[in-house]
Amino acid sequence: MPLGGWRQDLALGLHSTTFWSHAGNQYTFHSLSLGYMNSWGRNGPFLHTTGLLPLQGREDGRVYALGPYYRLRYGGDVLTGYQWRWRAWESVEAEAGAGLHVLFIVLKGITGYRDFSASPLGLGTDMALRWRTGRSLGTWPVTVGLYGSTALDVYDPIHGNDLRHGFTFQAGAQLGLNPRGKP
Amino acid sequence: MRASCCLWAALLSSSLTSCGPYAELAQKLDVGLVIVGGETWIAEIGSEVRVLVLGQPDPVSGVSAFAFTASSLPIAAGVSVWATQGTWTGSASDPTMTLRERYLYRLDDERGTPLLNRRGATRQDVNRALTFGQARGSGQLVLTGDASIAGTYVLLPEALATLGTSSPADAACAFHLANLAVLSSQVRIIAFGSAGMTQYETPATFRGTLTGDVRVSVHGSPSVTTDITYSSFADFGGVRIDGTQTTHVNAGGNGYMSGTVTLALQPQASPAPPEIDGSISYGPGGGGGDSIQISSGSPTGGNYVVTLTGGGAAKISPVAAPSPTVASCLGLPLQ
Repeated sequence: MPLGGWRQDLALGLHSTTFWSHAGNQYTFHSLSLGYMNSWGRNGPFLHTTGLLPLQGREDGRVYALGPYYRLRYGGDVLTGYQWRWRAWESVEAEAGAGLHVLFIVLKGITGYRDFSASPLGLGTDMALRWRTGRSLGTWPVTVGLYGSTALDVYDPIHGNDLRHGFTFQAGAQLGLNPRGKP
Repeated sequence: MRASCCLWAALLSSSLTSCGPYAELAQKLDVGLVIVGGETWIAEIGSEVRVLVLGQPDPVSGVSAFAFTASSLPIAAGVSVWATQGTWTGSASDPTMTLRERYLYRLDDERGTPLLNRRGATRQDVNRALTFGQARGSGQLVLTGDASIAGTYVLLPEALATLGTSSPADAACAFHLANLAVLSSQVRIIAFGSAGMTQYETPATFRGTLTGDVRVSVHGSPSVTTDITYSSFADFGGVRIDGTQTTHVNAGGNGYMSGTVTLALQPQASPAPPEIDGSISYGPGGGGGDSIQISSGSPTGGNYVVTLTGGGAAKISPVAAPSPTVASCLGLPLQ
């Protein structure tokens, strides 16, 4: 598969974020993630967007399954920036990038319980490996792959910048339909 | 900038998220104790009015609950409140009394804090025991010990018997006492006074310490209307309020109040004096007139219009010092 052209993948994985408030509280959330990843050219921009289903939360050592406390829980993760793509092995290509990171988590409490939300912003890096399967869907070659990303979050303007700092990790598998392009 | 941030948040997420510092995870909104029977004591130290409710032993568990509220009143609207609830031990004849705090509520003076940075009312689980020396006599309770609670207290329902109903001063006194109940309720409404009030797009109800409840409901975006409805609400013996207080503010926290809350003060004395009834108007429905004006989330103008059934009436500025003070109204010892 040529290294040029654009790539688009669906991704399924796990997403974890932990952050500290200025009051010293530590929050951690583990979520299921479903994402759409897109990148352009050997060297070019990328956009990774992920929808989140938060499953478990933790505050200062107290762990909560979120389902019993929140009637609505969701989130999103966007990482966008510049990426570099190269051939790692015969049928495997690698991609790495860095850029801006935006995360939000919204938990709407059941009656009688308090809502929670956070929306940290920061910088992140992203890495992906794609294998060419040899199969095609129509004229589009199918790839499978693995991805991972990390981010350092430092700013949350919506929450009075109560964020001291935080870290986000994401990893999973991806399935791509990528057009034939020039090498 | 503050308004644009909140507007951004509103547009970004409308009812999806709330502004302000991070909330506690999986926090139950109302865990306030309900006290049946018991005594309500009141003291004023400086400009802080302290009310201590000592419940009778629970017939099942034998445990006695207490609730303490301290309202800072350099201005009539009040600027901060803190409260604590838990259990107490020590009979009237004991030389000491121990308060075991379970919940600590705070509503700090955040008038100088940008709206998005305000914490508003918070609750913290605590486990602290405070022991006081106590002496009772002549309707007074003298507590010595931790300075934040200590003082010379008077039984509130008995002190209410000194109030009249016909003069402007009587109306002002009735307002200040009813407003203590309002402040006492606000400190338990988690996030009250902060942008986190958008939480109450899903309405919530908080029980009164003695009777009734208060329901909080928020609607609209980015301009927000908050209805706080009291139903037979009593945190203190002898002071009950009913009715709805409504606040209309834009994304910057600027706006006005409307609505009417009725008050009922029930003195206890022999012979039993009549109940003192009246109302507090926060303003007409569309604002204007004497409506309480809100700037950056805090009252800055207008008047509380107080009317008593005995004929007493007064207009009270939210930013003026209480006149007369609660201590003057009730004849409390100067401390």
